[in-house]
Amino acid sequence: MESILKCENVSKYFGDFAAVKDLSFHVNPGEVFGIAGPNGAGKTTLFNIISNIPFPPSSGKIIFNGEEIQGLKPHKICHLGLVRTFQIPAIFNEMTYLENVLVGGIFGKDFSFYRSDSKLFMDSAQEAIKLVGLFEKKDNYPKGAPLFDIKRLMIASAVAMKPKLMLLDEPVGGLNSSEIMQLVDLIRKLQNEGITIVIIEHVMTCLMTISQRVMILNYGEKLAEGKPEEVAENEAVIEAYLGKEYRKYLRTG
Amino acid sequence: MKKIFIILLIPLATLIFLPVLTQRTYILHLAVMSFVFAVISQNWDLTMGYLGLFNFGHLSFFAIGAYTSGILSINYQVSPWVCLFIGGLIALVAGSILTLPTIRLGGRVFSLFSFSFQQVLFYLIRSNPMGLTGGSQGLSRIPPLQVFDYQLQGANSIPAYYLALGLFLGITLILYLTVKSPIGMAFTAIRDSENYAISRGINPFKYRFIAVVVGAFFTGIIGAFYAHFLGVVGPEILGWGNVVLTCCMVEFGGLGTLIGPTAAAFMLTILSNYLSGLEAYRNIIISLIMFFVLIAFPSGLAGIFVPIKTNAHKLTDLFKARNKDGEG
Repeated sequence: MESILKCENVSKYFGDFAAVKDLSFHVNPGEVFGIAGPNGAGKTTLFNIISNIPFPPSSGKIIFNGEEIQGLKPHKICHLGLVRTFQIPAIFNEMTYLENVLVGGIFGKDFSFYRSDSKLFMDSAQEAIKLVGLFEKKDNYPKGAPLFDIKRLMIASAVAMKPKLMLLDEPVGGLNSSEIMQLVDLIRKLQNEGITIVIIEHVMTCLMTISQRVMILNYGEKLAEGKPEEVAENEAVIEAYLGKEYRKYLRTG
Repeated sequence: MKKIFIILLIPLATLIFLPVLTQRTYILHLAVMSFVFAVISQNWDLTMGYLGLFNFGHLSFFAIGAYTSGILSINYQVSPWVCLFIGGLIALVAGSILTLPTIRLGGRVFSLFSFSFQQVLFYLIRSNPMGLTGGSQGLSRIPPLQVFDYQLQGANSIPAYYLALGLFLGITLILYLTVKSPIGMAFTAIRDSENYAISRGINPFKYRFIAVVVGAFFTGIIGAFYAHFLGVVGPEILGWGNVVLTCCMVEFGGLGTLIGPTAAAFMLTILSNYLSGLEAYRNIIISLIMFFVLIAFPSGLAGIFVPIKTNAHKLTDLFKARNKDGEG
């Protein structure tokens, strides 16, 4: 099976410092691909250079759906069906929940004034906001909204864009355990709808349960890659990131 | 929302029947000037309010429209009606010249460039290149717009009043529909969070360009109308006093609301004319009024009509963010 996203020898330098160094990996269509690693390992930088928001890679190739995208403008990458969410909650403060989602529906595919169909946009937005369970709040303004709402809104507006691949940057970080359960369900729903997902997460139980494959980064380089249970047994990963306690926890729990 | 349209009907009816209600030219003149400045500040609001793009050169589009139209109709006998359109078009071209090289370099560069653009334009007009602009004297005897035998010049011409009203209402309607359309949604998205907007498929450069250019076009048209209506136009329209007063209309009215800058344009045009006898005290009084209104309604005049959901929190957020940075 042809992989949907493929990075070949991707690097990102800030001066002499390599935030991502010579990294290669691929993502299969339909899977949930987890990325973890210590703080500063270059996980978010990796998302930044894949989506070109706000910067492209220094070198290397990124192939999405058979097309090289590392030179493309960020909004063009979105139109191809590769969308992302942000670790730091991003939201349009002066629009209602529904309008926030609608933006994704309208501009997710190249928007043209002449062939716009407002009913279609509205339908896709309503569908997306129902999917994440925020339909009752659709006319609220997000100022001061709970983190859980903002994270789900970001996902809803990404869903409204009808993406092929979604990059989720710490979607459950900072949430309580019942909220985490709901988001895990949501991510499974997305996967069932045929959206491939790449997810960065520190909450390891969540990452290990939903991912089919996991990659661990350290200092911008790949430390390990494989099935979650294999990676969890990897000595280098335990040393650098998980810690010995985790292995015990995994065996008993 | 319905309520606000009903409330708006009253001033609208007043404006439509104003020439019947009063024959005083002074009042009609003030009304026409209010229409002109309302159009300028609405279009300025498009970039400054809806996009958060600090465009300090907006009045240069007005001057370009006025001078283009004046020069063409005096020196080349082009029909003033055609000039009206060409004035808008040249302003649009000026808008793209201002935008294209700078918009990718970020808001600060654009602000500085627009500011210097206006200064250069001011001195260019003053220097009377090739005897076209009339230097500091400005242009005079600009031919009026004509419908059959009616000459639409000066406030004692009723058709001129209705043309101004028509331009004002038409442009207001177009801008209103624009900001309510997906284009307006893109504007707001870019202002609220640029990177998030990009990640949802919006090209910020495209929409910034649209906002500047559309604003320039309408401002150019109203500038051309202004020239033909008064018959004279001088470089003082780019003078500091005029720039600050117009900028105040936008800020005082309430950024990103359209109705606010419109109301403020009427209020400040009328106020500054009635108080002109007080000379220097005029500015003090206007400043004090603005000061107290802004304390009561931090989001500007529009805050009186519309519940404050927009820009009121902007400044406080900015300070909060700064404090946080300081701590970190």
